[in-house]
Amino acid sequence: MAAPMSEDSADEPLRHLMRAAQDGDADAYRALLTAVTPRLRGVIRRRRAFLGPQDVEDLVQDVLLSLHAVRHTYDPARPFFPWLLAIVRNRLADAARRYSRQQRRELAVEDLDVTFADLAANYRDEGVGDEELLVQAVRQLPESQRQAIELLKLREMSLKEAAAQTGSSVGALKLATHRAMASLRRALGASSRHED
Amino acid sequence: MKTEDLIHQLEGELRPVQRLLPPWRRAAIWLACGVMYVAGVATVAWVRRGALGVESDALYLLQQAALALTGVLAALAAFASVIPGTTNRARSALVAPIGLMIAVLLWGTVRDLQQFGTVGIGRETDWPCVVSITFGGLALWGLAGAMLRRGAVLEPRLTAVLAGVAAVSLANVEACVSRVHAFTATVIVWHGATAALVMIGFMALGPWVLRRLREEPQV
Repeated sequence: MAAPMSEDSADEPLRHLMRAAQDGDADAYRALLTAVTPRLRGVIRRRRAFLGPQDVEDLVQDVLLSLHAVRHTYDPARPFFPWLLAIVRNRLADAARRYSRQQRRELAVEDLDVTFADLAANYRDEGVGDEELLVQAVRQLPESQRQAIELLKLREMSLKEAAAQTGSSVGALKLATHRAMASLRRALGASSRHED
Repeated sequence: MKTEDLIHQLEGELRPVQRLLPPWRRAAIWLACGVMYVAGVATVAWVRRGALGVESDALYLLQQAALALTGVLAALAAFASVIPGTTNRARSALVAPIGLMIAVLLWGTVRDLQQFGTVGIGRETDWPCVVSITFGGLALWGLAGAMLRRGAVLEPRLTAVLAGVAAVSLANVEACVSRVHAFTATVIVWHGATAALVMIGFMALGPWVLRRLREEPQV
């Protein structure tokens, strides 16, 4: 079971890991994030007991992203947990605000079988459409883009794994995926227009 | 996405970062710029008109001291507000100089009434101070906003308001130093109304500006 977050003994190693992460030490950063994740889950579960596991996980990821974005604001001379807990509080408050906005704006509709005046609004997404077309479109992509799509989208590898396999950087993989998706959208959009 | 995958992704994107200076040092840098601004505008006013509004009167000096202290504490509180988990004592301490300033202004009004038989409302206009407080407040707030964008703007409205109080306080010091005011009520009405309007602007638009200025997260 995770120790309470305020314990000095638990804070000290994390403070060092965070200091190393600020200096660019990726191993220390992984160790830090791996160590704080279960604790974050615990804190969020305690404070939002009504949330399901997936919502808790979303909030944990939200906190990790925020931690990453504002990691330069941490002062290693100060304790790590109060800094992290302030971010958690803020993310929880943001999530509560988002939820309350959604509740105010959303309307429960009993009967969804509605035909709208605009034909495009009646379109129902039925997956990828013509699979053969998709396969052809993927084949026509440049090598780097095809590889990125295959590894990240079809084999569902993480960016890091795909980067290790291809020898490309994470940034280059992201860019290749982005371009490939744009090309596929164009190719599949054009073919569906031809059919119309 | 699984949390483990996100951790891998964040690890892959990790770059060394430059740590933020402590809030007091960043506030000191901003205050130094603010003092230079006040000194610069006062010098221009002195060269153009050959006179300043500086007085040796105790009430005047107390009022300027309270304004300057408000600016210092608000700047400290604003820069501390963008560091998660920082105890913000400066924010609570703001009550003291603001209270002192209100007391001094009321005391000055009573003294005017005793000396001149009127508090002087409507006796003089103060458009130059309206302009200088508005533009000075905007310029100093803009500088603070540019500096604050590197922090974690967790509560944009609070940060915008604190930076606004700091900026408007220094702009008020400049207005009081650069121009002579015959009645304390002129300061209360003209400076007070301008400061209130500018603060409403900071409160309404400041959070949006801070979000726009904020450095994009690297994710």
